[in-house]
Amino acid sequence: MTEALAFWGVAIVVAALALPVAFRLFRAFPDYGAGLSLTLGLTLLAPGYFLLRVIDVLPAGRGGFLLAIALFGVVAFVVATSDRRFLPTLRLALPGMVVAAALFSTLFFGYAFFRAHVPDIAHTEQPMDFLYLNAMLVSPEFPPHDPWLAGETASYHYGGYLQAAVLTGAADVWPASGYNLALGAVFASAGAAAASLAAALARWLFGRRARLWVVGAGAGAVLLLLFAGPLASVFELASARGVANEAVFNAFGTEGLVRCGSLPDESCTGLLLDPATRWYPDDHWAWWRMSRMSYWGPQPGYPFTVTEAPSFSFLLGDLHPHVMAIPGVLLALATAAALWRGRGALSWRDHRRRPALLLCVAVIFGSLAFVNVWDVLAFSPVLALAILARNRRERSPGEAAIDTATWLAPPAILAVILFLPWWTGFSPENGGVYAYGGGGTRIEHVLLMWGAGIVFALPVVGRATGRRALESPARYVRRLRRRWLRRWGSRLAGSPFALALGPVLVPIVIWLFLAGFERTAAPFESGSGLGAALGGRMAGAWLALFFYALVLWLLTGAALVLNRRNHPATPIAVLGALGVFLLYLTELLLLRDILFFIPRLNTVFKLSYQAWIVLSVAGAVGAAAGIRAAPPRYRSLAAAPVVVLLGASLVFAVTNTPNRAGDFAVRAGLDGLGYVERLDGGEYELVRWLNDNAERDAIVVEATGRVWLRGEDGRPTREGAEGSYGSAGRVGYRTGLQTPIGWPGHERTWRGASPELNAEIARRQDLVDRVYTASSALEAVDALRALGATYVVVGDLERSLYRDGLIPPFETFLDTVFARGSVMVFRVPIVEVVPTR
Amino acid sequence: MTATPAATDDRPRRHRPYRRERDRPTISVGTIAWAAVVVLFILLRVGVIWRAPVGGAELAHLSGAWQARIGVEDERYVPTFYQAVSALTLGWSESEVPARSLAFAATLTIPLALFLLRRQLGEGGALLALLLLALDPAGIILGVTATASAWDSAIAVWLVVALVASRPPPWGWAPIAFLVATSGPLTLPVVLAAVAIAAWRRARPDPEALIWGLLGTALGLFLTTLQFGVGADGLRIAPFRLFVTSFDEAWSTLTVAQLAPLYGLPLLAGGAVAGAWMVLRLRAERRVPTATEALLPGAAALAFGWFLLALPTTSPLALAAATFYASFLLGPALARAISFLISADWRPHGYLLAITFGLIAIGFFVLSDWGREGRIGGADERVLVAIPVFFGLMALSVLALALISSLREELPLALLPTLVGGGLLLLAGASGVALSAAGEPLPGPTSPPGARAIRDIAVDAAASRGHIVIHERYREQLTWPFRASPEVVLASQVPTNAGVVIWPIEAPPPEGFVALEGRWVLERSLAGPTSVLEAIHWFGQRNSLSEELELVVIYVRRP
Repeated sequence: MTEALAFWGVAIVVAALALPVAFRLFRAFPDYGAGLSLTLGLTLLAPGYFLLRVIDVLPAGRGGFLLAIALFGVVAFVVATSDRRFLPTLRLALPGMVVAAALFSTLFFGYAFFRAHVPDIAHTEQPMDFLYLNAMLVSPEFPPHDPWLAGETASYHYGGYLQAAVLTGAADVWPASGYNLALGAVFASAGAAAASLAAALARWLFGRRARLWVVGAGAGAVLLLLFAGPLASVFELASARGVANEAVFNAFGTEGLVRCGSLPDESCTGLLLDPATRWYPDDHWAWWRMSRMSYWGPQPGYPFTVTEAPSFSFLLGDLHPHVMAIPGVLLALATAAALWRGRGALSWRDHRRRPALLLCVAVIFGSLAFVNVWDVLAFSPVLALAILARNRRERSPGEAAIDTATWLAPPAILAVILFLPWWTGFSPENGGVYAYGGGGTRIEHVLLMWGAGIVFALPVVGRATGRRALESPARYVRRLRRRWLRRWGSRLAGSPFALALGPVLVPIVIWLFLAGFERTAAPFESGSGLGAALGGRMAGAWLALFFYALVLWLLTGAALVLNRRNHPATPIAVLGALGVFLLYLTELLLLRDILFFIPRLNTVFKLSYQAWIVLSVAGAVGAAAGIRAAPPRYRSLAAAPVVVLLGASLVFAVTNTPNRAGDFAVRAGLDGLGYVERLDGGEYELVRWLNDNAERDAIVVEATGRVWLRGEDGRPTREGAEGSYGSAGRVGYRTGLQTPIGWPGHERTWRGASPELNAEIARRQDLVDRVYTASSALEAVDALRALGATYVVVGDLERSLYRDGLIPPFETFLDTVFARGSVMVFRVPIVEVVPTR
Repeated sequence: MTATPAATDDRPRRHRPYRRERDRPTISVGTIAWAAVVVLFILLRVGVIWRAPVGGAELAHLSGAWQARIGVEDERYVPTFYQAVSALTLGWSESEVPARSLAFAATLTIPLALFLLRRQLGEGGALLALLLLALDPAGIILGVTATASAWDSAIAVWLVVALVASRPPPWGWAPIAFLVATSGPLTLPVVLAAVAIAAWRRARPDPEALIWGLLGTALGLFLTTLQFGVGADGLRIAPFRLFVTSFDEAWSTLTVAQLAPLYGLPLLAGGAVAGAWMVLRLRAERRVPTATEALLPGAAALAFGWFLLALPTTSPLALAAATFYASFLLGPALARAISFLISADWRPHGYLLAITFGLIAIGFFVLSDWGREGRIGGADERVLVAIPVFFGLMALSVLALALISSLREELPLALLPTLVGGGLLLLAGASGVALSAAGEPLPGPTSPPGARAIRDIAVDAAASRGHIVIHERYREQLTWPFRASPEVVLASQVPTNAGVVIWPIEAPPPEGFVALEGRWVLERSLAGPTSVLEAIHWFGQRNSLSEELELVVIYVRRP
C-alpha cells in the first residue's frame, strides 16, 4: 500500500506540474486538459530525462529522476507565470481537475487492487517488459544497455518503459512492484485521457449546457477503451453456462467456442471442456481465447492473428509498448483536435511566435515513435490532416497545403533531432509492405470484434446529412427521399463523398499492384499472384472488406463534409474513419517482419489495436450524438441498442476479471517477483543481492537455456536449446544487469536477424556454456574474461540445464560472494594494483 | 565679507558639547550581539578543523580529491570547485587540515553576508538567523569538513545577497555564476527558486549581467567537465551530480530520517512553522511579497522537499540544506516572537510559566532516568508510579499552557517552553558536534587515526617482505588512510607476492602469514539511538551510543 501511495503521489505531482502546459494546449477542452496532464507530463519529462542522461548531466539513480522532475517543475512554473490566463484558467479548471484526479485515482487503485491478486511477472513477454523497465532504472549510461546482450545498447522503442521508470524510480518503489503499478498508471491515465478527449469532442458538439451528455461521452469512452472487449465473449459465456445453440454459434462463426465436454471427441470442432462450474468461464486462461480469432472458428485451421483489445491487455498484464502507448496516442489525438479547433491559419511563422508549442508538438509526436514506433506511422498523419483542415478554412487548397507543410516541417525536424540518440540505436525489423493473400477475416468476426466501436461511430454520418437526421424515423425517411438523394445525386462528382473514395480505393490499388507482382504473403501455401490472392480470400472476408470500404467511405465523406462546414463533429468522423481505415488496411496489406511465417500477425495486432483506441473515443461520442439526435421521446428507444451493445461488450471484462484474479481469493501483494520468493527464496534473495551489491555495469553470467549432459565419453554434450519465453535470462530481466545473452529470438527481432548477429549470439552462448562446462579453472576463467563477466550465477536452473555434475567447482577458484539455499554467486577474483601516490 | 579664520573661531560653539559626546567611543547592544554571535559562530567551528575525524561524505570526497591529486579518475571526485581546490591542497600537505581551513575560511564569510541582509531580514532577524546557523549541527559539519559541498552554504548565502541585497556590477555575475556552477547541490534551491520567482515577477535580467553570468557558468561547466584537468567523461554539472549521487551513496551511518530528530528537529520544525506563518501573514496583509520574502521561502520549500524525499537515504546533505534554509525563515520569525515576549506582560502568567518549566523539567528527569536505565521500569513502577507521574506532569504542563493561551494577547508566551526546549536541543547538538565530533554519529562512518597507524605499520612491514595486499571489501575505505603509500594491491584472494595482508577479521587467515597483535580498526561508526528513551539518554549523556568497528587483521609473511 505504501508503494502504491508513493507511486500515485509521484504521478499526481507530475500531472500537476504538467497543468500549465496542458492549459495552454487544451484550453478548448472542458477540463482544460486536466485528464491529459499525467500523460503530457510523462511525455515531456521522459525525453528530457533521456537527453540529460545521454549527455551525462544526470547519473543513474533515484536522484536523477527527482532532479528531472524538479527541473520540469521549474519549467512548468515559468510557463504558468508567463501565461496571464493561468490563474483564471486554474479556477475554471478546478472541477475538471477534481474529476480527472478522482477518475485517475479510482482507476489506478482499482487496477492495483486487481493486480495485487495476479502480480506475477512470469509469463508471455512479461520478463521482456520487466527487463526494459529494469534497464531504464539501472543502466549506468544512456542510451540504456541491453541486459540480454551485454555491451550493446537497447534496440527497442523503450520510451514507455522510461516513463514507467520515472515514476518507479522517483517513488523509490521496488521495481517488481513498480511494474504492476506502472500498469495501473497506464490504465488510469489512458482512462483519464480518453474521458478528457471524448468529453471535449462532446462539448464541442453538444455545447456548454449539455453537461450530462459530455459526462456520458467521457464515461462511455472509458468503458469502451478500458473495459469493453469482443462481443464473442457473450458466446463464450453462453457456452460456459451450457446454453450453446450450435446453429446460432455457427451463424456467428463462433463454433470454436462450443464446449463438447472434457472427454476426447474427434467430431468436436470446439473446446474439449465441460460447462463452467462458476457463473463465468472458469477454465484456465479462458480469456486468452478472446485475443485470437483462431479459437472462434472451427478448429483447427482458421488463420492465426492476434486481435487484442486494451481490456485484454490489462487483464493479461504485459507492460508492452502498444499498451503503454495508449495514453500517448490519445494525447497526440487530443493535440491534433485542439489544433484543429483553434482559429486562424497556421504556417511556419507561428513557430516564431509560439516556440513552446513547436517543442510540445515535436515531443508529443516524436514520443509516439519512442514509445511504440507503429503509432507514429498511424497518427502523425492525423496531425497533418488537422492542420490542413484548419488552414483550409481560410486558405485556398494550394496555400493551405503549403502552410501546412511549412508548419509541420519544423516540429518534424525537431522531433527527429530530439530523439536522434534513440533513433541511431534503433534497428527495427522492416521488410517492406506486402499484399495479404490469405483468407481474410470473416464479416461475423469483424462485427464480433470491432462491431460495437464501428456502429457507435456511425451516427456521426448523420451530422453530415442534416442537422437532425435522426430526429424521427418518418422524417428521416422523407429527408432521405427528398433531399439526400437529390442533393447527393447531383453533387456526387467532385463532392466530398467522391473524394472519400480515395482512402477506399488507394489501398485496393496498392494491393492489386503488389499482388500482381507476386509480392504477397499468406498463412498457408496458397500460391502467389493476383489470381491466388483473389481466390484465396473467403466469401465472408470479401463481405468484411466491402463492409469496411462502405463504412470508411461514409465516415470519410462525412468528415470532409463536416470540415467544410467547420462542424464540431468533424474530429469524431475523422477518428471513426481512421479506425476503420486501419482495420481495412489489415485486410489488404501487411508489413513484413521476423514473424513473416505467420503473415500479418503483427500488422493485424498493432493496427487493430490502434483502431480500437480511436474507435472507443469516436464510438463513445458518436453513440451519444446518435442518442441525442433522436427526439426526446424516442431517446430511450435510441439508447436501447447502445446499452445492449455496450453491455455485451462489457461481458468480456466482467466475466474474465474474476477468472484472471483467481476469484479474488488470494491477495499476493504487488511484488511481481513474490512468486519467486515463495518458490525459491534463494532466487529472490539473489535479485535483492545483485540489486544492492553488483556494480551497475557488471556482466553476470547465467544459463542461456541450452541443455548439456555428460556424454558416454564423460565429456559435455549439448542436448537442445530452451528458446525464448523460458526461465533463461532471469537474472537479466529481474535485475536489469547485463548478461551475455538472454532470449536469442527476441534479440533477433529487435535487431534484425543478420548473420553477424546470429554468429555473435552463438559465440556468446558457446562461451557461457564453456563457463558452466569447463573442465578446469583456467578454461572457465578464460571464458569469463572473454565475456567480460564479473559474476557467475549457479542456481537450480543452471543445475537443471548443465546436468550430470558438469558445473565446475567455482568455489575453489572464484570468490563466493552470495549463497542462499541452492543459489550461489561467484565473482572473478580481484587482483588490482591501486595507485596511492 | 569673507570670513577670516579668527572670525570662524569666534562663532558660538553650540555643538561642541554634543560633539564631545559623539567622539566618545560607544558600542551599541546590537554590535555586541553581532560580535557575540560571530564569536560563537567561529568558536563552534574552529575546533572541528583539528578535532573531527574524517568521516562520512568528507571521507568519500577527500578520497576523491586525493585520487585527483594523484591523477586517477574516480567517481568520488565530483568535482566541485572546492573539491578541486582541496585536491590542490593535498599536493602540499597530506593532511585534511588545509582543506578544512579553506572550507572554514569560506564559511567565515557567512556572518558578513547575513550582516548585509539586515535590511531584508531585519536587524534582529538577520542576527537570529546567524545565531541559528551558528548552532546548526549539520551546518557546522558541512561548513568545516572537506566535503565537496563545503563551500555551498557560503556560496548560497552570497547568492542570496547578490540577488536581493546588493547590486553587483555586471561582471560580478561571472564569478558568482562560476561558483554556483561549480558548487554542490545546496545552492540549487536558491537557483531554482530565483528562476521561478524571476519568471513570476516577470523580471528581465540585465543583458550584460546575463552574458557575464553565462560566461561564468560556461567556464564552470567547462572546468567541471574536464574535472579540473583530471580527465573528461561526459558533461558534468557538479550540483546536479552531487544531488543525484547523494540519494545512493552511504555518506552517513544514519539515514536522514534518523539524523533529523537528533540534529535538526528544532530548526526543521521551527522553519516549517515560520514558513507557514509567513504565508499566512502575507495572505492577511494582502500584499505582494518582496523578493526576499519570495526567494527564501521558495528556496526553503525546495530544500524541505529535498529533505523529505531523502529521508530514507544516508546523505546528510539534504538535512544540511533543510536546516540551512530553515534558519533564514526562523530567524526573522524568532525576532518577532522575541520582541513580543520582551514587550509582553509576564506578570499574569509568570507563575504558570515557572510551573510549566518545573513540571517539564521533572518529566524530563523521569524520562532521562528511564533512558539511563534503558527501560521504562518494572511493571509496578510503570503502572503505579512512573506513568501516572509522567503523564500527570505532562497534563499539568498542558493545562498551564492552556491557561496562558486563554488570553489571546499572551498567546505567544506559550511558545516560550517550545523555544527553550528547541534551543536546548540545538545547543546540545551544536556543542556535541563542535566539541566532541568523534563521539557523534553525524560525521560517520569515520576513518579513525588508527587506520593511518595500520598503514604505517603495513608500510614498515612490507618494506622487506613484499606487497601490501588489502581485501577488496575495503576499496572505498583504503584511499584516505593509505594515501601516499608504496604500491598497494587490492585483492579478494591473497596473491603469492603478498608481504603484508590486511584482511577482514572473520576471514580465514592466509597460509604462511602471521597476525600482528593488536586491535586494528579501519573504520568506526556510531549507531543511532534506537528508541525515544535512548535518544533522551543520549541528549543527556553524549557518549552513550554503541560503536561499530570494522576490525581487520594485519598479517605479515613469515620470515
